[in-house]
Amino acid sequence: MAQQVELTVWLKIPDMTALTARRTLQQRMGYGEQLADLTRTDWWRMELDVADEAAALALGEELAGRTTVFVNPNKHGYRVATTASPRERHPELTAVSVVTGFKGDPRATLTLEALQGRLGYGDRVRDLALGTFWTFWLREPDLAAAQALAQQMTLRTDRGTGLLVNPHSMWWRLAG
Amino acid sequence: MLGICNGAQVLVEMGLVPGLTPGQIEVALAPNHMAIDGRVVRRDYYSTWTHLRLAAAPERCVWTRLFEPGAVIALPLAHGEGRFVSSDEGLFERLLAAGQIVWQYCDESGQVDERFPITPTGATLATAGLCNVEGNVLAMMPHPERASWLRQVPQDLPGAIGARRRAAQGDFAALEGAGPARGVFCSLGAEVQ
Repeated sequence: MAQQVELTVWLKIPDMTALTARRTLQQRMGYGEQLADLTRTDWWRMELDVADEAAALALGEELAGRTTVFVNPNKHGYRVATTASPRERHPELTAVSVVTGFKGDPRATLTLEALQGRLGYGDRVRDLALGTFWTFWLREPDLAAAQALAQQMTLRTDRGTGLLVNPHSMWWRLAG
Repeated sequence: MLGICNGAQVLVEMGLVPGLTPGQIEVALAPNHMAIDGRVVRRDYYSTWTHLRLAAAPERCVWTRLFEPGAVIALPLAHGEGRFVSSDEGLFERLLAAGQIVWQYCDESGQVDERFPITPTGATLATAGLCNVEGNVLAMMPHPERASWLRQVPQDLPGAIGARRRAAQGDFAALEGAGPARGVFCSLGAEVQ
């Protein structure tokens, strides 16, 4: 029976890509009032052939912690959950997470081949998807308005709008 | 304006190239995708010498005016995200017809081929250099500045350019002469004069 889990992987040191994106949105693109912070992790969705959710989480933990495919313990932290969520907590802010990725990214296919073949997991790992899990921390209490802001900041349609996703080569969706 | 490698990515993300509607993001430079018979053999960063064929009329772009029609040059590339793509189906065919695809990847004989390894990035229509409508902004993924002197060309490069480099071995004056991509810069010089 197929179960899905999501793995998020983050750098232990400050993430300069996320910091640069945040500063660009705040200082160059006019979101200084609304955007308090922007964080980022790698995101993997695993489709696993196991009996139940607990078994899926256990296998996800094994894949993340015991293979060297997803996590380098010297520099990464990680979490396995049924649904990815932001690692940080800012109760006074509204969090909106988006998942972004490249269309036709071969890394998921190549990683799946390695897990199923060389690493011996066979059909227990049915499918993998790969992306980046971004979380906008917004000074906007209304969730719908916050999601609209996050969409504006994500989708790049012209030189003054959006930053994270060029729709010609990338996909995105709201997380959760 | 000439954007090479990261500079080309900036021009694309600023909506300056192809610039059909200036400021709109019309194409992307996606991660390299190298496949043989549909199977991915490499991805992302790749560094190699490659050949390019002038796909547009020389006078179409200020950076190509001194080249002969259909000229073939050799130069290196070194990047992870150089695959020209667009979600607008047919856009690259229209850009080629309009002369905005200035350079295409080809083999040493000048034969354009979208497949790896001749097109190392997987770019649509083997696009290596794309200019704006006016022809005064060029986004180019390979590095012409690294092929501006003959001494920069590797001796084992196949084809006529490699043969010229091998023949120049030991000839200091020849080695200090123009490399295969110098014309990119000289074209602008001629335009300015």
